[in-house]
Amino acid sequence: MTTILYKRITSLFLLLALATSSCDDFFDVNESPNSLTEVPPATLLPPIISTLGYYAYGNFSLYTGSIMQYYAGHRGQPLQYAQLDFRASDTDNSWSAIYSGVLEDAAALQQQATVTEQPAYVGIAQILKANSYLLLTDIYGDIPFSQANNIDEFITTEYDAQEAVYNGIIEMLNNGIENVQADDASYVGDEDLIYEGDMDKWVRYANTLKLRALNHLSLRQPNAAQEFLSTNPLLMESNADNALVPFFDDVNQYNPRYQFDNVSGREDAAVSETFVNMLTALNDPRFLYYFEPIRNGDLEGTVAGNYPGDTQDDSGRERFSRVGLSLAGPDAPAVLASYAETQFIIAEVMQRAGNAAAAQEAYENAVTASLNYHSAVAGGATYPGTGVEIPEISEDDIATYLAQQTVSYSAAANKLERIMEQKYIALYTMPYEAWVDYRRVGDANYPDLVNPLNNRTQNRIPLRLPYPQLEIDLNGVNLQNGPGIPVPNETLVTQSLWWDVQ
Amino acid sequence: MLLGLITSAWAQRTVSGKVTADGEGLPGVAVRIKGTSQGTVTDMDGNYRLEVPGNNTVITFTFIGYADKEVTVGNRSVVDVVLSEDVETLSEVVVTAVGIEREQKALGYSVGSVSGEAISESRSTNVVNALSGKVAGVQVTSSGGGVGQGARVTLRGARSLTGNNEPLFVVDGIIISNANDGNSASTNVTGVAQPNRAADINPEDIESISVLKGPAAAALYGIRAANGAIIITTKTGRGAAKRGELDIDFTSTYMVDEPLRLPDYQNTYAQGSQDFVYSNGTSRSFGPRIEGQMHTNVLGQEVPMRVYDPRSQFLQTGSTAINNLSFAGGDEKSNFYLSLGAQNQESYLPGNYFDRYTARINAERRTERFTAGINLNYIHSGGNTPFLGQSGSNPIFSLFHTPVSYDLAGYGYQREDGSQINFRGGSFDNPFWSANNTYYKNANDRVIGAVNLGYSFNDNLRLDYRLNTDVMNEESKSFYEVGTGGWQNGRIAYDDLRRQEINSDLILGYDNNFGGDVFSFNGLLGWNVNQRTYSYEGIAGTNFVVPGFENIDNTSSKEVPVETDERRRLMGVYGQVDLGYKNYLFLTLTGRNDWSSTLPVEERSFFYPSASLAFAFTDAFDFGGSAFNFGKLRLSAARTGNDAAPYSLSPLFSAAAFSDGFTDGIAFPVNGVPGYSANDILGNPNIKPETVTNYEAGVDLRFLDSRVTLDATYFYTKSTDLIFPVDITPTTGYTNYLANAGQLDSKGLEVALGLNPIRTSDFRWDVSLVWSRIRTEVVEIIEGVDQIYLGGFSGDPSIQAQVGQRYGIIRGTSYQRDPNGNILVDSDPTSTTYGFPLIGGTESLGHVEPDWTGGLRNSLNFKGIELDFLFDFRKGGYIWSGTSELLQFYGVAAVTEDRENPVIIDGVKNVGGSENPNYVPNDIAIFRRANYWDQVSNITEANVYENNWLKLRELNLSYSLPSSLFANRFGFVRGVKISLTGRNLALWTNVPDIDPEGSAFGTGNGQGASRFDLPSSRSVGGSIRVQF
Repeated sequence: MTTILYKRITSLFLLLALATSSCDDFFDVNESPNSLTEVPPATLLPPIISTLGYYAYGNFSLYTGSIMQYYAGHRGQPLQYAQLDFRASDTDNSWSAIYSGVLEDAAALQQQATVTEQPAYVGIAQILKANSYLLLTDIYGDIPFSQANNIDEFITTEYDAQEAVYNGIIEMLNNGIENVQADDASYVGDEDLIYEGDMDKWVRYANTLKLRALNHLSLRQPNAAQEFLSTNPLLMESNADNALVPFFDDVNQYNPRYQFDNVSGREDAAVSETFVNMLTALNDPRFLYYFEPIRNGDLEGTVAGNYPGDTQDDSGRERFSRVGLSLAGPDAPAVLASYAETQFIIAEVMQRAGNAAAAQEAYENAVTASLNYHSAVAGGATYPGTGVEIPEISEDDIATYLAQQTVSYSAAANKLERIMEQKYIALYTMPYEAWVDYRRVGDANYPDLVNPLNNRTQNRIPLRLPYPQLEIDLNGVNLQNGPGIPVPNETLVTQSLWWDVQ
Repeated sequence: MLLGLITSAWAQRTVSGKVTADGEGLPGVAVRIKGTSQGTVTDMDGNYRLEVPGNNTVITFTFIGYADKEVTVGNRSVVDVVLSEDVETLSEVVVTAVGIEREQKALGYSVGSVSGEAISESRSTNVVNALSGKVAGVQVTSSGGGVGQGARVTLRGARSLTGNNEPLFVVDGIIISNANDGNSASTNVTGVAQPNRAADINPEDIESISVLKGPAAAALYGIRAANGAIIITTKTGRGAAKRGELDIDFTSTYMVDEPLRLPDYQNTYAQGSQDFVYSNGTSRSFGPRIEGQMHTNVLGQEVPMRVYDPRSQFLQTGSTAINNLSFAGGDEKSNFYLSLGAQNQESYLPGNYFDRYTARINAERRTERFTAGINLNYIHSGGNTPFLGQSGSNPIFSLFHTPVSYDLAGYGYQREDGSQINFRGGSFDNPFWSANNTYYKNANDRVIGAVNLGYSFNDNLRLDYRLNTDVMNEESKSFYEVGTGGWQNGRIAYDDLRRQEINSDLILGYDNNFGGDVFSFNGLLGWNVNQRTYSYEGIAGTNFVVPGFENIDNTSSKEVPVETDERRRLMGVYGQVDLGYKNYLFLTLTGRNDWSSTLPVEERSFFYPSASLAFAFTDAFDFGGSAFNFGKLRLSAARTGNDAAPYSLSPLFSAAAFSDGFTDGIAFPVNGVPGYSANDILGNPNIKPETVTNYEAGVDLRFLDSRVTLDATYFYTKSTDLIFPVDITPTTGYTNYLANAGQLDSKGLEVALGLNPIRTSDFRWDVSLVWSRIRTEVVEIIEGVDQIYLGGFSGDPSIQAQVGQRYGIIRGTSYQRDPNGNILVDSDPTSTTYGFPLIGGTESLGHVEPDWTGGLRNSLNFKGIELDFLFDFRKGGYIWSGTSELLQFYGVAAVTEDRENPVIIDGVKNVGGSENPNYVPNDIAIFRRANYWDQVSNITEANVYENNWLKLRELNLSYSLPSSLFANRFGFVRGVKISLTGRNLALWTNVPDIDPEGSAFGTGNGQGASRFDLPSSRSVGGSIRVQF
């Protein structure tokens, strides 16, 4: 009896063992129900646009806007940046978001769209990539470019010289322009958050970026921008062509500045006194668009800014204004490139070329465009709490403004400085561009910046931001072999970028 | 020939007798004829009858826990025997893997045992905390003193770089979940206090705990055994059943709780951010001296300045009440254990509480061949648990830096218009606001159950089957009122979580002795099937419409809902062979083959063997004598491993959402437009399982009649092919990729020393010391990568694993130093930091792992009075006190008191240039005011301390009333025990301000940093136990 029993048991176990190894279905539960392995190209586009807009208008504007003294935070990181105290780990998140977010998704979009034969998406991806690389290289200098976003081949990436990056950006823009016009692009719809499928506008945007990039080389290749203009490229022609990233008045969809100043509860930001004083002196119609009147306390309803680097606490919003509704409303858009900017560049180029008439026309177009833009975004809106209403800007207001001694082109002794000053005011929407201008144009032709209190750089304005700690830790060898590992508080003020010929 | 026949006929006769111990008949004693397998078993009264062949027959009497006895029959027909308790020659039984009971003597690996009584007397609300200091090699780290807050336990250091390093928890053969949800994935900087789920087990139900410290011990669990296992056995009622009685047990405990330690504060200076100038609304206390001067307070009133104590204004006395009622009984064929338990804790933080209710039934019925049993445990727990860490709703964060000039209780927390009154702005709330206007309420229902069936074919062959499940459902609701710092428009969120584990084990076992009693053989073959599922849904809304209505319908904005599901399956076939030779040499061999659904098809199956040898050399060579009465040598080697997390194999896209560290960011769909983005972690379709190889050698020695016991073990564990998401530069397009790489080596020594200096009939004194020293080294990560991030803040400090260093390094900003290591001070007279230490670069500031840990327990017993106390200690390793750093920055810490006397920082200054530095001793006199503490708070190194501490962990004084008291009128009362009890009574440490046992990062791998953790609790109280 027992032998039979043992036999039965052995066969039972053999059966079980067999069952075990052949039960592949049993183990086939490893496909994630939470994610997808493939997505349609149309769904990849919105996050690329949104992420780029959020970080350009949010964190990157916070860093550079503090350097250029648009902002002067009173506590925490905004104060730290106002004191020019930039540490390697400060920009880790932003650097990572562009490379592993925007650029990686753009690479995926390009790849997918090539397979589905939709060149418009390929072109859009290229243009957005170019914009991202331009933003990064103007802040950091040499950056990974040719080996980036290719994890199959490169697990650490070499740093490309800025000159090579610029050449790559121009080439990318040229390819983008070609691709967005390759077919009728009828498949691009409202997933294109910027232009809703209007390829003509993408071409204008790309050309504006190209003009911007070439103008950055004014110290290296003084004629590049002018040569480009003489080819009569299709550029932005009105505010309707502006490259704007939309945000919406709903949770997890708000404008980044609004989130920082009003939703996060941090209460540590403030606008800068020097910028407020500048606009006050000019009687600028954008005053209430740019600055929110103080909400509480004795100064309620008035506008005041903080002196850069000063540590007076204002968590109660009793001392200093915050950024105004035109840039920080819950659904105020982010500006990636604008018609006003295009005209300012043309004005500068024409001014240098000695063409005063063209310069004046471009200058006046630019100022008008900026005033009109803001009026369209927030004209007539009311500030919550104080109830102060933002007056719309009429054509007469613009004419009056342009005629002022302090604003008029003809009345200016130093025309270039006049152009750069108005451009500085308009670039409140793109502080990183203002920083490029400041480094490029130099003190003589640019509005003055003050020495921030308690600054960490011995009164020197930074020429770049230090490379992120992530790069030092994870890509250190390439960093060392390329631009070098940044020395805290030193490199950012002593090592200028390639186009910033000293 | 006739004579021979007559002789043998005469010889074959019946012998009977009674076996007693302690004056009582002992049932179940094995009575055997030595050298044969013939024998019988004593009955309920200890009587036996046995046929013996002749006068020279030797009868052996054996029973677990008692010394064996051999008696030659002679010409007696009645042989009575008295057995005496075995003096710790390791015949006691421990529960090993898969629920198998083995005699400790036969084990070739180290097992730590803790009795249920020791667990119960620790009065800990969490069984993991109760293990602290009792078993060598076990390191318990409590996350903090919040009610219901979890604790982390590791056995012998770390084995996985970023994966789970905590052991398996098994209760009555059921593998249960020890998840710590709410602190998501261990690297989160905010979260809520949530228990580790093993804490659901009612400590009163526990009969014993076996700690299987390494893979050798837990080899039968295969993949899940790499970190060892904690085997909990709950009460069965067999004791009462054997006595044929019904035992009723009632215990009630009540303790008051207070924070064990609060930081030291300065009581001189008022609120203000600019030296000696008073201002409202700032987070800092660098204002003027408090001298009764008039000032305008936050309410706009003109009042004189006074010194308050915000800490004692807010903190209250908490309490813990534990009540337990249990029934145990049965007869010779069955036994049962039924218990009901209630544990109610009120926190020292107002408004926070945590309750746990448990019900358990364990029952078993046996016939001659068949056994059927059930274990069923229902637990309901929940409460309103505190927010943690860097969340603005963590009341400790703002409470700890409330200026002493601020009347926290007097000013109130809410104005008539509903807005918040607070001493500071930003996203940190007034602690009273957090207590009254925010909450995290949760309710958890859990059922752990098993059905056990067994069939004995004969005396040797047995088939067992166990089907068990662990199902848990948790619902939580968090709420922040309009006006909360971090949620100005209010927020309400619901999280629903479900975990389920189903497990089936079929085991065939065979034991027999061969060659007389020379060889013993125990073998088993098992088949295991396992499935684990997890699902989570969350929804949240903000912007309340109607005040006071706490429902998601009342929100005008809904966040994008989240859904996550996970499922994994495992199948294993395992076997074990135990060979014993003459009861002093034992060899155990195991093998297990696992198939896991989380690995790719080609790598799905893997085999793990182990071997261990136990040699009781005193028995072998008959050393004997009482000076050295027992010695055993053990050796073992084992290989186990780990599989991957589910869904690790391919690159994936998910609904796009991002946030930038300052704000919540964007989550798609936006304005109705969907968006998908590539995940930042690149999956790997070629992933292999991890391999953990463990070698162990040890001795168990007994001296002086076991009055001195010494167990020592040396182990070496090598973990290779570790699966972890390697950090890579994001310029590759991904922040991490999943790889098999890296090697962790762990070496250590564990010692357990027991002393019994006094043992008389009235007085007994036992001392037990456990000590362990573990070194885990990161030998290798992957080519090109020198360190990976384990946890912490993403900047400063972060906890990393670095090649060539011990596992867990604190990396943060350091002091700038000269080539001789002296602190460098700013020598530029125009600088605002003139004379202050300079900030250096990011460096490694110390390893996290302790150098050694241990516990010392003393137990004194005089007649009915028992005094028990346990010290827990740790030396070495480092901790960063973020609490101290911030309290210094805010100017509330006692060290910031001296602001008006000039000091010279101990260091050097550079009087040369940057080309030709010339370092001379520092002579710059400075005042340590707002700017100074700002500078120092940017130097992480300034607040990294060696993590040494000694705690008086438990103290129990109890008195068992003499049975004579109730012998007459209350005969049904078996015993009454009254005790005074205390937990976490005293702390001695060099680390300032905090209890260094806390952790800012939950129970995950990123330990070594503490920043506004909830202070641990000191509990004092009493309990009474009545047994019927």
